[in-house]
Amino acid sequence: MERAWGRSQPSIPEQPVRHLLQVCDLTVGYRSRDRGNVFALEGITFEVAAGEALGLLGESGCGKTTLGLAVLGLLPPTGFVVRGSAVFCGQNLIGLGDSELQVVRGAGISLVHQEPWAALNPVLRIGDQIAEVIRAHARLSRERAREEAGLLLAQVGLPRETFIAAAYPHQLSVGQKQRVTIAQAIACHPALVIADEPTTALDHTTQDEILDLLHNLRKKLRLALLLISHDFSVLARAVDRVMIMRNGRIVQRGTTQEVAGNYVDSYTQSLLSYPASAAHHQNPTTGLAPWPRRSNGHTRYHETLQFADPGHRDRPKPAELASVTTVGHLVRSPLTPPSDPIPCKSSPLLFATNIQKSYLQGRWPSAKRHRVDALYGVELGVDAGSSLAVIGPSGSGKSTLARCLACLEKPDSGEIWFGGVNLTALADRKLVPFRRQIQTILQDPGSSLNPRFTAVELVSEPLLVDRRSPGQECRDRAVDLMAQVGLRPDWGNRLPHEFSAGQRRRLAIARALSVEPRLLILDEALAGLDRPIQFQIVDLLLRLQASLSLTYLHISHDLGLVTRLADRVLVLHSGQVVEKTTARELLAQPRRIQASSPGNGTCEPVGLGRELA
Amino acid sequence: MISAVAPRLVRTLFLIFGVSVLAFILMDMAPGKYLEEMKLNPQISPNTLAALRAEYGLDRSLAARYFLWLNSAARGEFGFSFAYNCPVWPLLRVRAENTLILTVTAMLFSWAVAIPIGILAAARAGRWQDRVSALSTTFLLATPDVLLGLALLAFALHTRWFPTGGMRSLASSERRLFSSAQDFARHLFLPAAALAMGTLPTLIRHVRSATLDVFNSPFIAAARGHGIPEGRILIGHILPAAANPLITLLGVSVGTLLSGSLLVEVIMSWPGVGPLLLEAVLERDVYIVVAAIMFSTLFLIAGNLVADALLYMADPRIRKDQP
Repeated sequence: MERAWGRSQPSIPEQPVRHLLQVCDLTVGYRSRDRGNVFALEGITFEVAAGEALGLLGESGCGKTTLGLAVLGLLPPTGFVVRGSAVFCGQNLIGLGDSELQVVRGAGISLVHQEPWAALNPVLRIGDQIAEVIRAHARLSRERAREEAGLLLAQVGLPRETFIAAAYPHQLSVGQKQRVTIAQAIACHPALVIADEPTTALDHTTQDEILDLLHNLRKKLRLALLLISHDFSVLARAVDRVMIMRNGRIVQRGTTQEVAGNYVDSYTQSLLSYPASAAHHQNPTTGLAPWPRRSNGHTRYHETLQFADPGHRDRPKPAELASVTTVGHLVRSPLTPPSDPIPCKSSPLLFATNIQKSYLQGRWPSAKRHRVDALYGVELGVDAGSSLAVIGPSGSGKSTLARCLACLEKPDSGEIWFGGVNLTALADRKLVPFRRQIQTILQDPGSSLNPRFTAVELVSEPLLVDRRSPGQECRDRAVDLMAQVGLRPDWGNRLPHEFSAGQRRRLAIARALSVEPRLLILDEALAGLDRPIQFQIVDLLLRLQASLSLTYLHISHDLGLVTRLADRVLVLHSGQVVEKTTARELLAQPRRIQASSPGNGTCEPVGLGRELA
Repeated sequence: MISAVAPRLVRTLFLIFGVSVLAFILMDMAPGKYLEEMKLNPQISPNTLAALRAEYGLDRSLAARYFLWLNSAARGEFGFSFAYNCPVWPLLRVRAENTLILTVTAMLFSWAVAIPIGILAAARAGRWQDRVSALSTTFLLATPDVLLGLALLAFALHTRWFPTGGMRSLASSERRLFSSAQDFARHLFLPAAALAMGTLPTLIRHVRSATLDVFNSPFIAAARGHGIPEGRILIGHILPAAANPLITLLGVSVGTLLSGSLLVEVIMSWPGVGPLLLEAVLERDVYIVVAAIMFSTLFLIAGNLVADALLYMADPRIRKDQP
């Protein structure tokens, strides 16, 4: 699909007519139990013109989300605005009462939330949830609002809108949920949409579609857009101006070209130099993506994140690992597993034959049900010590496959063999020893962590359950693991909600590693993280694989990461394996995926190949 | 739907059978038999006693008595009361009706009070409304039910606003419908209040914690972000999402409808199952005890079935994998 906009063709007039939202010196703090008041935002000043698209770039945990919440008066009870103003259409929103803000929320400025799986009420139908938003701002009958909701669903590109409207959130894929939250956001024709990481949780195909959708809606409805992301390539495609935020301050601003061309500091550089698509920013002579250098002015970020492990600097620079994505040049670092597509070790650690799984769907209480095949005759094998990646667009059955292989769900038919044992034939009780050996890191890091456990408790819990070492030792090990995944040890007493989304993901990884599993199933475990952190964790995973002879099964939609991590790649589409290949071949001929995928619908995995093209 | 319900029904039948067998065995193992006190009376000859024993079937084996009881249960009599000299069912039915009037009133009352208070405490978590509610629920929770009942009785004696026992005044049957209903309500108030105050603290705390969990969830934050009014969020978004644990609790409380009011009924002399059961246990009037146990069991099972059906309707995630 040819993009109608881009860096070369800014679609918005250079001189904005008037300012829609003017934020001036906005400073927001959080009360914290043990650290006093912490400033999340300090002296933020910017303006958005009507119809303009503005991007906000920053690492996870830098205060991006807080900005949107503060403007709309949606800060959690611990948050408060210290000073500053946010003038929207001549009205200062800061300090307004809830009833006055309610008129603005949704109808004036609307918010697309970061985690679409959590932003929808699990017990209400999709159509009703959209109708609720409409009815909050317009006097419409329930029926009229439902009709409107149907139209909105069609507008955000959800076909079969009557089916979707009657569905519940758990019946939709993440991409579909994101479209629903966008439908909610545009339901009352707001002048400004604040989209908080709207594409983070999505695969590249869906990500493109969502960005297209936002762009088209913006043109059609004359919306202004404030797009919040940690991924420069997302912003570069969708917005004209970019602000870069770090530690609650705006450190740089300018048009996308300006920002892409010259980095103000090493921090900005580190964000920009890990493009989602490897082709954008690689060094043309060496084919290597640049690795951020430390500079004296801005060392904190690197110290806390990049060099959490003191032994790090002696090991090969991750740039060598990063080069794997480069088309035609396959340079492996000594730490990566052998790139031989058929490893010499014979018996696979895990293999599965003819896995089938289907779900029944229907509108209760009607008796009509139809079967949805999530997996259809899937076969795979992973050798001990190697890595297999399963890629495919969202809704292709990747997560179902992961759940089946991790014995969290029983497949309808087919066999799963692990280390010579048929897991599908085992009773639940006998599966217990295998559960320790197969660890899973699930897609949604927020809800897989018990909200009442502190970080150390979370990471050490599997060790305590195992009863192999005393409590103190477990806690020490937990702190070690936290340091290994780049979390500060003194954060051990924090609760999950006190971490940012990216940090929670790392916590989940630390927990899975704690019991030293043989097989690690990573279900989109790196999706949604900043590129520097992703690469750091990739590095960590490869190191662990070498030292502990771990076996990985990566479920991902991110080809760039997959080729770095895995030797062999399985392409899944509509619940079927459409291609088995190696990372090397995939890199050499990315278009083959496209050719081999059946159907020509909107969700075909074209995007998988596109980012390497 | 049928395939989901059928196995449950079979299990339920087994459960009822097991409970009845256990009730029989335990009552038989308990020391003392109904006619034993008569042995002490010199005016009753051993022959008369033996004839009575034969008449009541007490000379037969436990198994034989069980099957006799099953037979009578099938006829709708559920055994024979020695003390009242009549079948158990008509006796128990009147009492069960009275108990149900009391407990259903108390349950409706306590839910009607607990839901708004619990929600208020959750919405104002940490503020004075929440603290007052926490303090009073702790106080109620710590007070024994007997003390609560006695305090209410003392209150009634002192103010003379409410009668201190029974279900109707002596002359109430001669009055007209409205005034007799009024009289009945006045009698009902104290025992219902005592019962409701016993269950209220647990309910309030459950409602509070269930709602509080939802209050803090991202989808409620999202709903606020869409500008949905706070009241609408509460009714239309938070309550449906918080219903799941509360419905389970409702099922349990339906289960205790017939057996939960025993103490209050005895103290307040409400003519329900409680006093009858107490009397029957003390006198070893076996079949009344067994029948009362059986009906409590049935209510418990029915309550859980109702809760499951409600859950099935309220929470789409439960329906997910149902065929």
